[in-house]
Amino acid sequence: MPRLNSASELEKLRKQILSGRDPDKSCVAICAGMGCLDRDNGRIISAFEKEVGKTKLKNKVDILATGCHGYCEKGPLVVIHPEEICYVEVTPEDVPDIISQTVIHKKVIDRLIYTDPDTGEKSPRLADIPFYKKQTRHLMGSSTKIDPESIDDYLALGGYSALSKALFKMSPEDVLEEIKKAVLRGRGGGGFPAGRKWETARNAPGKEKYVIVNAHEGELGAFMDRALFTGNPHCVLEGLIIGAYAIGSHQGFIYTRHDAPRLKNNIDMAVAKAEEYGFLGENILGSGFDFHVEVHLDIGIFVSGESSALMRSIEGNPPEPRPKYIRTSVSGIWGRPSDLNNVETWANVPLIINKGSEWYTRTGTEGSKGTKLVSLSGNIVNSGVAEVPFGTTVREIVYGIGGGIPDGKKLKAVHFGGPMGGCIPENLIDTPLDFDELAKLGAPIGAGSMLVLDEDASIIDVTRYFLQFLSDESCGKCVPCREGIRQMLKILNNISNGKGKEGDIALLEEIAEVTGAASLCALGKTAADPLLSTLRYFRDEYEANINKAKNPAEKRE
Amino acid sequence: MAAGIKFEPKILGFLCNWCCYAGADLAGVSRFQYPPNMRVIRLMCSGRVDPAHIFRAFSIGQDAVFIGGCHLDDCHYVTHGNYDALAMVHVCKRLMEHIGLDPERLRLEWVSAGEGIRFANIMNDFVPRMEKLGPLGKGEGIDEQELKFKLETVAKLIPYTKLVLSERLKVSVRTEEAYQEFYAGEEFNRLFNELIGDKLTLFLQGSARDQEVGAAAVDNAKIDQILNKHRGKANSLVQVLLEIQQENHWLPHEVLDRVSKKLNVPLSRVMQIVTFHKTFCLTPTGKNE
Repeated sequence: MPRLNSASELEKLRKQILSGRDPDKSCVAICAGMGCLDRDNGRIISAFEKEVGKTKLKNKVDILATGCHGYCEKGPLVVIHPEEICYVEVTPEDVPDIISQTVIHKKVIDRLIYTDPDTGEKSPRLADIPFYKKQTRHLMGSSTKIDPESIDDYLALGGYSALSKALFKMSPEDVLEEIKKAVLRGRGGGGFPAGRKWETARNAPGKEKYVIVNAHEGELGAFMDRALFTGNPHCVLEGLIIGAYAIGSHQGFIYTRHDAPRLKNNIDMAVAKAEEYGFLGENILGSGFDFHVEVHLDIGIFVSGESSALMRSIEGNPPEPRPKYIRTSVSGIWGRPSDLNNVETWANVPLIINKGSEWYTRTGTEGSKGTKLVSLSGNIVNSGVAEVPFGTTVREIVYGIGGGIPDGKKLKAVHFGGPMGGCIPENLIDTPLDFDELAKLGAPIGAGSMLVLDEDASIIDVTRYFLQFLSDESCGKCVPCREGIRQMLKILNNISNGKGKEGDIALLEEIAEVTGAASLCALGKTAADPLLSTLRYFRDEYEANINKAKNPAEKRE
Repeated sequence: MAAGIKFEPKILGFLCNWCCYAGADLAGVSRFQYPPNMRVIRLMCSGRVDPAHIFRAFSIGQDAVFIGGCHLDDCHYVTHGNYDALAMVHVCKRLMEHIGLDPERLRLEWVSAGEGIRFANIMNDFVPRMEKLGPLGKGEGIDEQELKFKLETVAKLIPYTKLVLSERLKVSVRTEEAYQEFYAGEEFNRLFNELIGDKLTLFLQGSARDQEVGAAAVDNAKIDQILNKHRGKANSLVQVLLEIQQENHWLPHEVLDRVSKKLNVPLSRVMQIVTFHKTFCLTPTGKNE
């Protein structure tokens, strides 16, 4: 494939790809996301290949191993295009039936389609399944149509058109202005406006600047970045190139971790393809803009996700954070301005450039625009990755999309943001999903993991689990974090084992305050957040345990 | 020893600031003659000397170690550090015996600030004895490689030895007689053999095995291949180490050395990284770990 040297060559290639594709041709898309991978979908893929070979359908059916579709609970998932029939919990034994009935005779197989457990209603099409119906899938919508290893699939869906628009019709300032107008907020947890971060990096002194994709995703219970990046790596890459253009950077890094080999593989493949096609390298699409990307593989311990620690590890140093009196967007990798954004943030960029900030700001709330990927886990019927507009209430996500709590139990709390987040109790679940609203309740949205707890869950145990995790993961560089977490954990263990003392709660609060104020980085600063938020809403449970009475959660059993 | 060239033993001295160092000073000021073979390190107390210092001195080519402190019960600190030095020296002598070194190479003496003549006399006695013993290792008939390996093994065991020293080999009464009685007694003999001696023997065997495994580590061509793949970039350190570990299951010291040289990263940084992450293994592991 020769490099593309202009926008018109890109459009020509796109036309060529599209003309070679028959929109009515059957296509079997098998989810190869993490959840389905665990459920033996390799055998399903090979069964399909065998079956297609046997029935001499080779030219009439495409088989696609895609990224995560989102509905992990019901995996392995198979979607048949163009009708978008969705089969759930498919086994290799079902494959001959799917080929002979659905693909050839366009008949829906009843036993494989989704049936609503409450109403018994059957939904053959993907868009009709309640889990998908209630989502707004701007980012994840194309997940069933893209083979992550093929750039052509992405191009066929209009990929890299945002890049060519930005390079040829917009100046870097225009791009920056558009992102600022779209109020794109960082999806990694802080919710810091990406436009402002870009501007700081752009205006920072120095010629060498860097842009970085943070694909660390160390938050417990978060798996949406991995789903998005593994399934559609080009979309993140395109966002990164546009960002580099706006900031004036010529070198990008993608931070990946050692325990996600498939993600690394897909990114490597995408970067190689993009270089081949001329979306990366010198003189991108003939615009005169140069940009290179390096994929950095590291050991993903929790603290490496913190920006200064992550940058230190890209330099080849141990991931220890530094105090951030000077932002990393001014002094990051090797002391140069470095803009770090989360996978999801970058993935939103091509959307904004393509459709404009005016379109983008139509979804969402006053302060938080666009959509958010959330990963649902815990005591919930439908675990998986869902994409919802900001402003959707937590109730809608838990009951509408998530299908409620299994076994008819009652909801106790929803925990956001993993070990550095907080939880909201059942009576507050009409709160809309919004950076500011949730932060006000002491449960910042974090990267978007939602852990649903039913009435039997012990809040103290959950908090203890998070603190245990943090005490294992603390890098140990600063004392408040290392010792503070350890001591809080010790007291919590005592309370949980029925050895709680009068005054323990006050002591916990005091340690939490000092740890939060004195720690170097966000790990220590927010380590006590789950504790403080549970103390805020479930203080009675702590008190009851200290009073040696039984835990209220146990009483009901 | 080549004919005509007299063997000059290298001796390292750890002298306490308050007594022995002042004593040596006095010997000098008073112009007492004694052989100049000792290099002196001044410490605030003889109790500061750690077994690690002694074995480090031996492993970097010193033939003998001298420790000088205040007379017992004359320590300038309430802690009576010289009693600790006494206990430590007893254990170190046993360790030296265990690996075949002459325990006389380690000498502990009490010299007060006024005893310049005593210091000179001790030196006049110590240096000729060491001359007679010959160079470290050679005098005992241990070859150089073996000596190096044995000293390294003892060094590995030192933190444990110190723990045993403070937990089990303590004398509760701080008098010279009590110390003498305990360290000459059967009880000390038994405890040392059970707690340290047997372990050291096991360690020596184990380290010998490690050395063999280490020698059979990944060949350099493979490491170079991995390094070349990353074009020798210093910031791909973690990735390189991960890939080598995948090949080899653990990271021998020789490999880290090579990586450090090839990537032009200081060995200290490499060590910092491999000890920071739990993922890395610095000891041999099984194939399926």
